[in-house]
Amino acid sequence: MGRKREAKGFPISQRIYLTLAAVWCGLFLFGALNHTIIPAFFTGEKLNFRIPGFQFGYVMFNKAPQRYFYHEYKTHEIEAWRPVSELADTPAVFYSQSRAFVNHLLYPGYVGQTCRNAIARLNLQKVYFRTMVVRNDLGQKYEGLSLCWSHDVPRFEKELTEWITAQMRRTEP
Amino acid sequence: MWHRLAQHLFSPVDAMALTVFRIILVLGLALHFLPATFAHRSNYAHNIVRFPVMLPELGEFLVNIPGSMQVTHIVFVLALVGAATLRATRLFFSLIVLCLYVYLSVNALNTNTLGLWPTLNICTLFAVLPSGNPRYTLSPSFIPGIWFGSAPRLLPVLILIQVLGAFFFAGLEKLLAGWYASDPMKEFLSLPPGSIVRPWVYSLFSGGVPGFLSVLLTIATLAGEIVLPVLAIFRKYRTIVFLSFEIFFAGVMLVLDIPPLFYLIFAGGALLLLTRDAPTGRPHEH
Repeated sequence: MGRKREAKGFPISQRIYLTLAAVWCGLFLFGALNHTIIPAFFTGEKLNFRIPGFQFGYVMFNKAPQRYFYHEYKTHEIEAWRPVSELADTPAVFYSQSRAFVNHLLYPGYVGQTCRNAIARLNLQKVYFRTMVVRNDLGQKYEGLSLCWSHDVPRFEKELTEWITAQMRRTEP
Repeated sequence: MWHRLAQHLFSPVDAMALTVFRIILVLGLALHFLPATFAHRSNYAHNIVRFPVMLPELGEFLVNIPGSMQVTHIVFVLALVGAATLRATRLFFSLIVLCLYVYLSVNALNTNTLGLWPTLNICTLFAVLPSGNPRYTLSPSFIPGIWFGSAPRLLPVLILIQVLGAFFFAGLEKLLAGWYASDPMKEFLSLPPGSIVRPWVYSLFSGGVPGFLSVLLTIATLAGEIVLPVLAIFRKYRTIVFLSFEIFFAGVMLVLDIPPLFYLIFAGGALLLLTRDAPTGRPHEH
């Protein structure tokens, strides 16, 4: 009885805050467990919800990527190959390389947008791309050269995406 | 027991660490989002690949309303300024959360990063819970040694749960992925230029990564991520945990090509470990 009376003594705002805090902690904990304990010891895989905390967890790479690809570019005015992060849609302060790397890895077709950016930004007709597909643990490396013309970006995008898919398949374990 | 816990969570603490962290958070948000925002004032949502993280339906809806993205940018900038300087923290952070959802729904490929989910969680906490900041953050009371006001303990505790919990579970995920039996740091440090390591790391280790160094880094990462959050539970270790956090994340920032927002959330969030009880005899602001 005494405890009940004490609990009633809490203002309603504090009770609401505590309830929200409890729900928040529950979601946080369940999302974190969904990437660790639940797949490791119970279900074998992550439970799939559309809430981002449940989808992605707190580690970008829990293993070093073994199979990946990356692009470099050059124009007739530049001799050396340059990182494609320079051609990103928007600036990324202090993390442009990793953002470009992850974006291209997630969406191989993004290279088409990168080419459009290069053509628009550098005011060119054509841009050269060099693509490296790597299987790190076996030391495999495949190199592809392609040319992106301003009048035919979709074809460049399609052909390069197909080439990347084929090379990535070659590096499958 | 619950009653005592509730009482403890609403006991007043010195708001200095919380206020400094709030400004750091706003700085991180500004650094992360404003360059992308300003670069796409007119056609932010068009011709760019979408990342289906949040609510793609919202993106579809918004891009068809003329001027909606421009309004979002203006609200976002005003909310950042307000959240850093004025008293109505909950209002400004509510607007920030709303804008972040719009950005992540419409065009997350330009802003996606690992640190965004903890950021959204923390911004939501600021939007909901009282943070007891003084009237103007940048008033003369911002001078060190002068009273910052007090805040209920609940908000700093939940932010610490987010920061330390994410750190701990990141370590657990690595442990379960088999880091204890392999040497993943060697593979990370040998990734090519233009990937997730900074260029100087590639230049330094292009001839190969010394075995002892990669093993040492692997063990230090695992041990740090698992042990430090547990130690933080005990008050007497909190200064050590805070310093270790700062060193750890400065190292991560130097080696990996991660956004400043990620660094500021974790290294800045650790500041809350230094939260002190509010001195008696001061007026409390709830």
